[in-house]
Amino acid sequence: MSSDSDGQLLRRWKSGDQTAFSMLVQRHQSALLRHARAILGAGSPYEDVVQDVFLKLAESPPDLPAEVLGDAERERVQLLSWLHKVTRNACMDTIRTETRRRRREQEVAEGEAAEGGHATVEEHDTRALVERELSKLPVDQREVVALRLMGERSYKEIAEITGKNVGTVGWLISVGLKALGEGLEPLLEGRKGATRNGSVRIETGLGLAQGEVS
Amino acid sequence: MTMEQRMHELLCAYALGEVDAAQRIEVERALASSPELRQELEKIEDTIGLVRESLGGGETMSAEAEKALMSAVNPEPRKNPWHSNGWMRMAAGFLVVGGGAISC
Repeated sequence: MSSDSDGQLLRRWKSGDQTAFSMLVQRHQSALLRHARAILGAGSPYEDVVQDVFLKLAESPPDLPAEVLGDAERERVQLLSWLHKVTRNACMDTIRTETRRRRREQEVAEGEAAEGGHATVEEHDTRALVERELSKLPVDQREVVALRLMGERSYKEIAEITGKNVGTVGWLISVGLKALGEGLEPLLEGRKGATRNGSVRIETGLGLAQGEVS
Repeated sequence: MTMEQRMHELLCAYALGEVDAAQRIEVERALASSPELRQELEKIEDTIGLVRESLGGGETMSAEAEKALMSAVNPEPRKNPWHSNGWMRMAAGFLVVGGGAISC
Protein backbone atom coordinates (compact mmCIF):
# COMPACT_ATOMS: atom_id res chain seq x y z
CA MET A 1 0.00 0.00 0.00
CA SER A 2 1.11 3.53 -0.73
CA SER A 3 2.98 5.38 1.97
CA ASP A 4 1.42 8.62 0.79
CA SER A 5 -0.60 10.35 3.47
CA ASP A 6 -4.33 10.78 3.08
CA GLY A 7 -3.78 14.44 2.31
CA GLN A 8 -1.36 13.56 -0.48
CA LEU A 9 -3.74 10.96 -1.90
CA LEU A 10 -6.60 13.46 -1.83
CA ARG A 11 -4.49 15.99 -3.70
CA ARG A 12 -3.51 13.35 -6.27
CA TRP A 13 -7.16 12.37 -6.73
CA LYS A 14 -8.16 16.00 -7.19
CA SER A 15 -5.57 16.14 -9.97
CA GLY A 16 -7.22 13.19 -11.67
CA ASP A 17 -5.12 10.28 -10.38
CA GLN A 18 -7.53 7.36 -10.07
CA THR A 19 -4.89 5.16 -8.42
CA ALA A 20 -4.84 7.57 -5.51
CA PHE A 21 -8.59 7.26 -5.12
CA SER A 22 -8.33 3.48 -5.22
CA MET A 23 -5.72 3.64 -2.45
CA LEU A 24 -8.04 5.73 -0.30
CA VAL A 25 -10.78 3.13 -0.81
CA GLN A 26 -8.39 0.30 0.13
CA ARG A 27 -7.21 2.17 3.17
CA HIS A 28 -10.56 3.12 4.68
CA GLN A 29 -13.16 0.69 3.43
CA SER A 30 -12.92 -1.73 6.37
CA ALA A 31 -13.61 0.94 8.96
CA LEU A 32 -16.58 2.27 7.02
CA LEU A 33 -18.01 -1.18 6.33
CA ARG A 34 -17.86 -1.99 10.04
CA HIS A 35 -19.48 1.32 10.90
CA ALA A 36 -22.32 0.92 8.39
CA ARG A 37 -22.81 -2.70 9.33
CA ALA A 38 -23.03 -1.78 13.01
CA ILE A 39 -25.78 0.72 12.31
CA LEU A 40 -27.75 -1.12 9.65
CA GLY A 41 -27.08 -4.74 10.55
CA ALA A 42 -25.35 -7.63 8.87
CA GLY A 43 -28.17 -8.49 6.47
CA SER A 44 -28.63 -4.93 5.26
CA PRO A 45 -27.32 -3.26 2.11
CA TYR A 46 -24.56 -1.62 4.15
CA GLU A 47 -22.04 -2.23 1.38
CA ASP A 48 -24.13 -0.06 -0.95
CA VAL A 49 -24.04 2.70 1.63
CA VAL A 50 -20.25 2.55 1.78
CA GLN A 51 -20.09 2.58 -2.00
CA ASP A 52 -22.15 5.78 -1.98
CA VAL A 53 -19.86 7.28 0.63
CA PHE A 54 -16.84 6.69 -1.59
CA LEU A 55 -18.73 8.12 -4.56
CA LYS A 56 -19.33 11.23 -2.51
CA LEU A 57 -15.63 11.30 -1.65
CA ALA A 58 -14.84 11.05 -5.35
CA GLU A 59 -17.27 13.77 -6.36
CA SER A 60 -16.75 16.21 -3.51
CA PRO A 61 -13.49 15.41 -1.76
CA PRO A 62 -13.14 17.42 1.44
CA ASP A 63 -10.50 20.07 1.91
CA LEU A 64 -8.46 19.11 4.95
CA PRO A 65 -7.83 22.00 7.34
CA ALA A 66 -4.50 23.73 6.75
CA GLU A 67 -3.34 23.01 10.30
CA VAL A 68 -3.35 19.24 9.76
CA LEU A 69 -1.63 19.23 6.37
CA GLY A 70 1.79 17.61 6.47
CA ASP A 71 0.95 15.55 9.56
CA ALA A 72 -0.05 12.14 8.22
CA GLU A 73 -1.78 10.99 11.41
CA ARG A 74 -3.84 14.16 11.77
CA GLU A 75 -4.73 14.03 8.08
CA ARG A 76 -5.90 10.44 8.56
CA VAL A 77 -7.99 11.31 11.60
CA GLN A 78 -9.52 14.27 9.80
CA LEU A 79 -10.42 12.34 6.66
CA LEU A 80 -11.71 9.37 8.67
CA SER A 81 -13.87 11.67 10.73
CA TRP A 82 -15.35 13.10 7.50
CA LEU A 83 -15.88 9.63 6.05
CA HIS A 84 -17.51 8.33 9.24
CA LYS A 85 -19.84 11.32 9.38
CA VAL A 86 -20.91 10.80 5.77
CA THR A 87 -21.36 7.08 6.46
CA ARG A 88 -23.45 7.82 9.51
CA ASN A 89 -25.67 10.27 7.65
CA ALA A 90 -26.12 7.83 4.78
CA CYS A 91 -27.07 5.07 7.21
CA MET A 92 -29.56 7.30 8.96
CA ASP A 93 -31.09 8.22 5.60
CA THR A 94 -31.37 4.53 4.81
CA ILE A 95 -33.11 3.87 8.10
CA ARG A 96 -35.43 6.83 7.69
CA THR A 97 -36.45 6.26 4.13
CA GLU A 98 -36.72 2.52 4.06
CA THR A 99 -37.30 1.58 7.71
CA ARG A 100 -35.50 -1.66 6.95
CA ARG A 101 -34.05 -2.04 10.35
CA ARG A 102 -37.36 -1.63 12.10
CA ARG A 103 -38.94 -4.26 9.89
CA ARG A 104 -36.02 -6.61 10.38
CA GLU A 105 -36.06 -6.20 14.15
CA GLN A 106 -39.76 -6.89 14.14
CA GLU A 107 -39.22 -9.98 12.04
CA VAL A 108 -36.39 -11.18 14.30
CA ALA A 109 -38.44 -10.53 17.42
CA GLU A 110 -41.40 -12.39 15.96
CA GLY A 111 -39.13 -15.22 14.84
CA GLU A 112 -37.48 -15.53 18.21
CA ALA A 113 -40.79 -15.41 20.04
CA ALA A 114 -42.18 -18.12 17.78
CA GLU A 115 -39.14 -20.33 18.13
CA GLY A 116 -38.51 -19.83 21.82
CA GLY A 117 -35.50 -17.57 21.38
CA HIS A 118 -32.27 -18.58 19.86
CA ALA A 119 -33.01 -21.00 17.08
CA THR A 120 -32.41 -18.56 14.19
CA VAL A 121 -28.78 -18.10 15.09
CA GLU A 122 -26.00 -20.34 13.86
CA GLU A 123 -25.26 -22.03 17.13
CA HIS A 124 -21.73 -22.97 16.24
CA ASP A 125 -20.68 -19.57 15.08
CA THR A 126 -19.22 -17.29 17.72
CA ARG A 127 -19.24 -14.42 15.29
CA ALA A 128 -22.96 -14.85 14.70
CA LEU A 129 -23.62 -14.93 18.43
CA VAL A 130 -21.63 -11.76 19.04
CA GLU A 131 -23.22 -10.08 16.04
CA ARG A 132 -26.67 -11.00 17.30
CA GLU A 133 -26.00 -9.56 20.74
CA LEU A 134 -24.61 -6.40 19.18
CA SER A 135 -27.68 -6.07 16.97
CA LYS A 136 -29.91 -6.16 20.05
CA LEU A 137 -28.42 -2.90 21.33
CA PRO A 138 -30.19 0.35 20.48
CA VAL A 139 -28.60 1.92 17.42
CA ASP A 140 -26.84 4.72 19.32
CA GLN A 141 -25.13 2.23 21.65
CA ARG A 142 -24.32 -0.16 18.82
CA GLU A 143 -22.74 2.55 16.75
CA VAL A 144 -20.43 3.92 19.45
CA VAL A 145 -19.43 0.44 20.61
CA ALA A 146 -18.54 -0.51 17.03
CA LEU A 147 -16.63 2.71 16.43
CA ARG A 148 -14.61 2.26 19.63
CA LEU A 149 -14.02 -1.49 19.61
CA MET A 150 -13.70 -2.28 15.92
CA GLY A 151 -13.02 1.15 14.47
CA GLU A 152 -10.49 2.06 17.18
CA ARG A 153 -11.82 5.61 17.27
CA SER A 154 -11.30 7.47 20.54
CA TYR A 155 -14.21 8.77 22.62
CA LYS A 156 -13.33 12.25 21.39
CA GLU A 157 -13.35 11.20 17.74
CA ILE A 158 -16.63 9.34 18.21
CA ALA A 159 -18.13 12.44 19.77
CA GLU A 160 -17.01 14.41 16.72
CA ILE A 161 -18.43 11.81 14.32
CA THR A 162 -21.78 11.38 16.05
CA GLY A 163 -22.34 14.93 17.26
CA LYS A 164 -22.67 13.72 20.85
CA ASN A 165 -20.58 14.95 23.74
CA VAL A 166 -17.73 12.84 25.08
CA GLY A 167 -19.60 12.10 28.32
CA THR A 168 -22.56 10.73 26.42
CA VAL A 169 -20.25 8.57 24.30
CA GLY A 170 -18.67 7.12 27.45
CA TRP A 171 -22.06 6.45 28.97
CA LEU A 172 -23.40 4.78 25.82
CA ILE A 173 -20.33 2.56 25.57
CA SER A 174 -20.63 1.64 29.22
CA VAL A 175 -24.30 0.70 28.91
CA GLY A 176 -23.66 -1.13 25.65
CA LEU A 177 -20.76 -3.13 27.06
CA LYS A 178 -22.79 -4.07 30.10
CA ALA A 179 -25.60 -5.42 27.94
CA LEU A 180 -23.12 -7.23 25.70
CA GLY A 181 -21.38 -8.73 28.72
CA GLU A 182 -24.68 -10.05 30.00
CA GLY A 183 -25.80 -11.36 26.64
CA LEU A 184 -22.48 -13.02 25.97
CA GLU A 185 -22.00 -14.36 29.48
CA PRO A 186 -22.41 -18.06 28.53
CA LEU A 187 -19.85 -17.63 25.78
CA LEU A 188 -17.44 -15.73 28.03
CA GLU A 189 -17.75 -18.38 30.71
CA GLY A 190 -17.14 -21.07 28.12
CA ARG A 191 -13.99 -19.32 26.92
CA LYS A 192 -12.71 -19.11 30.47
CA GLY A 193 -13.25 -22.83 30.79
CA ALA A 194 -11.45 -23.33 27.51
CA THR A 195 -8.53 -21.24 28.72
CA ARG A 196 -8.28 -23.36 31.82
CA ASN A 197 -8.58 -26.67 30.00
CA GLY A 198 -6.80 -26.03 26.74
CA SER A 199 -9.62 -27.11 24.48
CA VAL A 200 -13.15 -27.72 25.62
CA ARG A 201 -16.67 -27.65 24.37
CA ILE A 202 -18.18 -24.28 25.10
CA GLU A 203 -21.54 -24.28 26.83
CA THR A 204 -23.38 -21.36 25.26
CA GLY A 205 -26.83 -22.07 26.57
CA LEU A 206 -27.82 -22.21 22.92
CA GLY A 207 -26.29 -25.55 22.22
CA LEU A 208 -22.65 -26.50 22.07
CA ALA A 209 -19.96 -24.68 20.17
CA GLN A 210 -16.53 -26.16 19.69
CA GLY A 211 -13.79 -23.94 21.06
CA GLU A 212 -10.09 -24.23 20.39
CA VAL A 213 -7.63 -22.25 22.40
CA SER A 214 -4.65 -20.88 20.63
CA MET B 1 -26.50 7.93 37.80
CA THR B 2 -25.79 5.55 40.67
CA MET B 3 -22.31 5.00 42.09
CA GLU B 4 -22.27 1.53 40.53
CA GLN B 5 -23.14 2.92 37.10
CA ARG B 6 -20.48 5.59 37.41
CA MET B 7 -17.87 3.03 38.43
CA HIS B 8 -18.86 0.76 35.54
CA GLU B 9 -18.47 3.66 33.15
CA LEU B 10 -15.05 4.44 34.65
CA LEU B 11 -13.98 0.80 34.39
CA CYS B 12 -15.00 0.71 30.72
CA ALA B 13 -13.05 3.89 30.06
CA TYR B 14 -10.09 2.43 31.98
CA ALA B 15 -10.19 -0.78 29.97
CA LEU B 16 -10.27 1.22 26.76
CA GLY B 17 -7.48 3.59 27.76
CA GLU B 18 -9.83 6.57 27.96
CA VAL B 19 -9.19 7.77 31.51
CA ASP B 20 -7.14 10.77 32.56
CA ALA B 21 -4.48 10.58 35.27
CA ALA B 22 -6.85 11.40 38.13
CA GLN B 23 -9.42 8.86 36.98
CA ARG B 24 -6.72 6.24 36.60
CA ILE B 25 -5.66 6.73 40.21
CA GLU B 26 -9.28 6.58 41.35
CA VAL B 27 -9.93 3.36 39.44
CA GLU B 28 -6.73 1.67 40.55
CA ARG B 29 -7.39 2.53 44.19
CA ALA B 30 -10.90 1.14 43.92
CA LEU B 31 -9.63 -2.00 42.18
CA ALA B 32 -7.00 -2.58 44.84
CA SER B 33 -9.63 -2.76 47.54
CA SER B 34 -12.44 -4.57 45.76
CA PRO B 35 -12.36 -8.10 44.35
CA GLU B 36 -15.85 -7.47 42.91
CA LEU B 37 -14.57 -4.52 40.89
CA ARG B 38 -11.62 -6.56 39.67
CA GLN B 39 -14.06 -9.20 38.53
CA GLU B 40 -16.20 -6.56 36.83
CA LEU B 41 -13.14 -5.18 35.02
CA GLU B 42 -12.17 -8.66 33.93
CA LYS B 43 -15.62 -9.19 32.48
CA ILE B 44 -15.46 -5.87 30.62
CA GLU B 45 -12.04 -6.77 29.20
CA ASP B 46 -13.24 -10.23 28.20
CA THR B 47 -16.29 -8.74 26.49
CA ILE B 48 -14.15 -6.23 24.61
CA GLY B 49 -11.75 -8.99 23.61
CA LEU B 50 -14.51 -11.27 22.38
CA VAL B 51 -16.23 -8.55 20.34
CA ARG B 52 -12.95 -7.42 18.78
CA GLU B 53 -11.86 -10.95 18.03
CA SER B 54 -15.21 -11.89 16.50
CA LEU B 55 -16.08 -8.76 14.54
CA GLY B 56 -12.86 -6.81 14.23
CA GLY B 57 -11.49 -8.42 11.09
CA GLY B 58 -10.72 -6.34 8.03
CA GLU B 59 -13.88 -6.57 5.98
CA THR B 60 -13.67 -5.42 2.39
CA MET B 61 -16.16 -4.67 -0.31
CA SER B 62 -16.96 -7.43 -2.75
CA ALA B 63 -14.92 -7.40 -5.94
CA GLU B 64 -18.06 -6.49 -7.93
CA ALA B 65 -18.90 -3.58 -5.65
CA GLU B 66 -15.38 -2.24 -5.82
CA LYS B 67 -15.26 -2.61 -9.58
CA ALA B 68 -18.59 -0.81 -9.93
CA LEU B 69 -17.33 1.96 -7.69
CA MET B 70 -14.11 2.44 -9.58
CA SER B 71 -15.89 2.53 -12.91
CA ALA B 72 -18.42 5.04 -11.56
CA VAL B 73 -15.91 7.58 -10.35
CA ASN B 74 -14.83 10.22 -12.78
CA PRO B 75 -11.08 10.58 -12.90
CA GLU B 76 -11.32 14.06 -14.44
CA PRO B 77 -9.22 16.53 -12.51
CA ARG B 78 -11.30 18.48 -9.99
CA LYS B 79 -11.51 22.00 -11.30
CA ASN B 80 -11.23 24.89 -8.96
CA PRO B 81 -14.66 26.51 -9.31
CA TRP B 82 -13.12 29.99 -9.07
CA HIS B 83 -10.86 29.29 -12.01
CA SER B 84 -13.72 27.65 -13.86
CA ASN B 85 -15.79 30.76 -13.35
CA GLY B 86 -12.88 32.86 -14.55
CA TRP B 87 -12.66 30.91 -17.80
CA MET B 88 -16.41 31.10 -18.16
CA ARG B 89 -16.28 34.86 -17.68
CA MET B 90 -13.44 35.17 -20.17
CA ALA B 91 -15.33 33.08 -22.71
CA ALA B 92 -18.44 35.19 -22.16
CA GLY B 93 -16.34 38.34 -22.69
CA PHE B 94 -15.05 37.02 -26.01
CA LEU B 95 -18.60 36.24 -27.06
CA VAL B 96 -19.77 39.74 -26.20
CA VAL B 97 -16.82 41.38 -27.95
CA GLY B 98 -17.05 39.01 -30.89
CA GLY B 99 -20.81 39.49 -31.11
CA GLY B 100 -20.39 43.26 -31.02
CA ALA B 101 -17.78 43.18 -33.79
CA ILE B 102 -20.01 41.03 -36.00
CA SER B 103 -23.03 43.28 -35.49
CA CYS B 104 -20.89 46.34 -36.47
